[in-house]
Amino acid sequence: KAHRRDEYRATRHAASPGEIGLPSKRFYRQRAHANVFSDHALSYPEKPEAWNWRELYPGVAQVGQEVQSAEDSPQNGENITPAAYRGVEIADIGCGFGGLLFALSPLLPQTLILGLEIRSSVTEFVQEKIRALQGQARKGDPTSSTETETETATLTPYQNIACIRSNTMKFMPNYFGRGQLSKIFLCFPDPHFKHRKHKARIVSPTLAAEYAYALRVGGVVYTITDVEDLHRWMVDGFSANPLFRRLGEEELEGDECVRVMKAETEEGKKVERNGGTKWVACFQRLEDPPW
Amino acid sequence: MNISRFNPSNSDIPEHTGNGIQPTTADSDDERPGKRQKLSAKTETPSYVLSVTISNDRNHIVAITAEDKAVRVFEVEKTGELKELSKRCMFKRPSTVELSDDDSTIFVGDKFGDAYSLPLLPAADFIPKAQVSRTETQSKPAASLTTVHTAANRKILEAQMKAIDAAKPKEGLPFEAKLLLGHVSLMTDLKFVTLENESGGGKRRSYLVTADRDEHIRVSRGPSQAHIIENFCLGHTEFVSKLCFIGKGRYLVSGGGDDELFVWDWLQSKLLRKVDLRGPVEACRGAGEDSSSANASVPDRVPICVTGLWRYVVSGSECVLIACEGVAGIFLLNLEPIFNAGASPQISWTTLPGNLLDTVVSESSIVVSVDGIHAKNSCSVVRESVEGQQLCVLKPHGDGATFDVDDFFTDSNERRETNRDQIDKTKVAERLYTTGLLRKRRGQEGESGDVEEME
Repeated sequence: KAHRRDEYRATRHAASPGEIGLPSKRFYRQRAHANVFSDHALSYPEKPEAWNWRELYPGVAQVGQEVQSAEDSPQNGENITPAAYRGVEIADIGCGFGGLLFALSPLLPQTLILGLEIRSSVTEFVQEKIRALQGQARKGDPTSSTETETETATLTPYQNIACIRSNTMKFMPNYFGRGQLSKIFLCFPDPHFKHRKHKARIVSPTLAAEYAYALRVGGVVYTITDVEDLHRWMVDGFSANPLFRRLGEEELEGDECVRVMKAETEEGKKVERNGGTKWVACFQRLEDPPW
Repeated sequence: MNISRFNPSNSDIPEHTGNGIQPTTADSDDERPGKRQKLSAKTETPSYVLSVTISNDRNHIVAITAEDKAVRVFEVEKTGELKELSKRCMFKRPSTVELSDDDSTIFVGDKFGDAYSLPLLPAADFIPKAQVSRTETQSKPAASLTTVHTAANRKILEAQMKAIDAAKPKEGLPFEAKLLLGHVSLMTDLKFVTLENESGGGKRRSYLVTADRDEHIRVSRGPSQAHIIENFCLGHTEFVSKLCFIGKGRYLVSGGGDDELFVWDWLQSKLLRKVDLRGPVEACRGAGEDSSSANASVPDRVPICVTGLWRYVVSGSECVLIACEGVAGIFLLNLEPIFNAGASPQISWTTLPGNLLDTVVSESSIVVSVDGIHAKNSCSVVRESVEGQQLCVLKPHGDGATFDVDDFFTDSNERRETNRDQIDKTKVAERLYTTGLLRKRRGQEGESGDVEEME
């Protein structure tokens, strides 16, 4: 079985991105839990400034260069600033097989989205799928590849997403500086039912401080789970931190991200099939109080 | 000088206790002469003292102990005896302890990366919170039948649902304690600092600075707003084990498993300088080898582990004293060149009669405790005869960069002697040299345990 896996992956690696089809999940399955306290064999940047995130978004790097050579000021308004200057702004922590990434990519084409996943095989699947989708998009629309050379700094489809292997509970500050992110997604995290394992949950009052650090004022943390107990736990965790305010139902109504998170994530679909309940809670980052 | 007659009202009280890792049974810190006796009388299995700190008013001593995960507060009596006032057992083993400026609050960092604040003297009227709500939620499984599960997990869930066991809910700590912040990594050091008149605002601001095994140094606001992270000082590539403030708290020196010490303008999370430590450490080891243990072949690249950093002022200039694990020497870094943006700072060193374990700095002198059981510069080779000279007084040499071993505390205590014979010498290293274990084993880690198939 392992042999077939390796063979499959090797042939995919040999093929050029334009020719390969989407990867098949069954060659990338991995146990659903990972020990967040172990050291693993992770590589991570020393600090955010030392992290070459441009490498992950090759299309963006090109666009960025174009803009730079045209001497465009990066400071002409928040929304006009090309993604290449703003860096990663959305983090999908525990992105799994990447359902949310692929759904968000066309919704927010000018924003760089990064999926972070601790399981190596699953990360590889998402990376493969991104590569394949980017290749297909280029093939289907040959003009898009030349578009980077024109003055419009737009990205071709799926060039604003990337996925890396990381343990965010330990190393989030190594990737994101203070107030860098506008949205953080925590979708269907490992519930860790045992009381003894609760420290391994992705949300805790102490970790909320780290999410608050990485989020800019006004940024939002999106959480969703099918486990009521975990939902309450996450609500408690963020509510305990005065830097977060829970968004009410009516505030979330128009938010496309919530809809996508409910419908497009892999786990979300599974829960749908099982007829389970999905619990959503979103929290907005408030300003630091004076002291 | 006889340590059992140590008088705390004496003017020559050392300024600060170090945070070394020392077993109580081989206690060699001059500030806690009576404690060993008390502990061995009370508990069957000895609990080892991990770290000790003394209050600014010199009236209290706070110690954290390993086996019982306890924070113990002692009162220093006029006679020099220590009286245990309280013993509070935490959830996880404490790893570092610090007192606030006004001595009212103890800060404890633990093995799981959490930091708590406890009052030094617990209020008598504290009633532990009864966690009623948790009891109710706990009596039913967290998952439901519609939860996405593997077949095996579903079976377990069904079994759980059948047996509505009255599992004991986890109770809160039976004393006043506040969770301040948490790392997802072993917390190696925690420091509390108050800055005065910073940027002319005239405001006093307190910060908690914490370090962990995953190379982070985190700056959080003081206890009332500890949930707000001000910044991180990142740059270490190995664990960080010790932090030390200098320049009235403006600058921070950090050390750990890296070959360099880092000097930070920590409020700006700006690295000012890296100072090479490997060169001096290797030179010091080499010098030690010539004189005593020529046979003990030291491997070429011994990893460096900083086990102690102490602020020390010599003739008006600020310095940091440095201890490294298993190195029979003390190192001195003069920081004036860094403040004045001058020449690159150098670390000077002085060899000692044994591996440096801990240091206490007073205005006039430095007292160091050295390992009398292991050979110089070795964490494993046991000496043939145990050296009696385990506490030395150091006096600065004329050049201000090195020290002379000035005096030894003679060991006249009979009880000490008998206790020492009972120690299994081979086990001592397990207690004394634990900092090196923080190092991650890189490279030899396969993914085999990582990749498990689901179906």
